[in-house]
Amino acid sequence: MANWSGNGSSMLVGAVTLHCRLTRLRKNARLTENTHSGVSSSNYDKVVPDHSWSASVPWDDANLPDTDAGLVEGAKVTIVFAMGASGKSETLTNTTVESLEDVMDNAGDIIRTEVTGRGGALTRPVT
Amino acid sequence: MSAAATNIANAVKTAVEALSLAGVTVVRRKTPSVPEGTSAGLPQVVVSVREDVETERLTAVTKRRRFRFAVTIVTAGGQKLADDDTVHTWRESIDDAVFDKQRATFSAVAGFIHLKALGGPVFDPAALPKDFNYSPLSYEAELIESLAT
Repeated sequence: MANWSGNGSSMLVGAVTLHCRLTRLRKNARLTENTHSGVSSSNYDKVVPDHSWSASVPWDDANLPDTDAGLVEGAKVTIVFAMGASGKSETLTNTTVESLEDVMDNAGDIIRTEVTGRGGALTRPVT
Repeated sequence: MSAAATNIANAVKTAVEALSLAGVTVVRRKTPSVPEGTSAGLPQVVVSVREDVETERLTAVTKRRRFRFAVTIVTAGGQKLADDDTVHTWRESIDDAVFDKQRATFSAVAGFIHLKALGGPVFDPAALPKDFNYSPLSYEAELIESLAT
C-alpha cells in the first residue's frame, strides 16, 4: 500500500499536456428514485453515469487552454487525468467542456483559467 | 547566491542608482550592516536579498519561489535617532522605483511575477551595529520557474 503526492497531476487533452494547479474528477451516477413496496426505505437506482470534472490552470501564454489544448466551451474531448506521482491515470472519453473562466486578479495572483466539463465514458485506474 | 537572487539584487541596485540620490552610494551586501565605528561611505543604500527562499510546487513542472529582500538606507548618527525628512523623501523615491515601477525594474529577472511590499523587517534590526540609523524598505519578489529535470 502506498500513498502518493498530488504533485505531478496534469491533463492530457488529446495530444496536448495542460499543466494544472488542481484537477478534480467527480464520478457521479444519475439516479432515479425507485422506492416501492418491496423496500423498507427510500431506494435509488442508477440510470446512467454522469461524471464531471474541473481544473484550475495557470494561464500559460505558450499553451493556452482553449486555443492550444482545445478546451473550448461545448467541445467534446478525451482527457487523461494523470494522478500525481502514482503513475496511474483515469480517462474521460468524449466529455464535453462546459465552461472556461479566465480569472485576472490585479491585486496579487497570476492569471488562471478555471475549466469545467461533464459527461463522457470513464476508464478507471487499476491497482 | 542563486542566479535568481543575483538578478533581483542587481535589478534593485540599478533602479536605486538611477535615482541619483545626493551623496548616496548603493551597494549589495548579505545583510544591511556596515562596519562598526566608522561612518566613512555613508549615507549608503544597502540591497540585501535573504538567502533562504520560500518555495512551493505549483504544477507538475513549475515551482513558485518567494525572495525576501531589503533596501536599507544607512545614515550616520544612530545614537540620536533623529527623524530625518531627507530619509523620508528617499524612501518614497526608492519605493516608487522598486514597487510602483516593478514591471520595468524587474523586466530582466526571468520568471518574475510580482512584488509585495512587506510591513516588517526582513533582517533582525537588533543584530545590526547601533552606531548608525537604519531605514529599511522590505519586499518579497515572487517568481515562477521550471522545476529541474
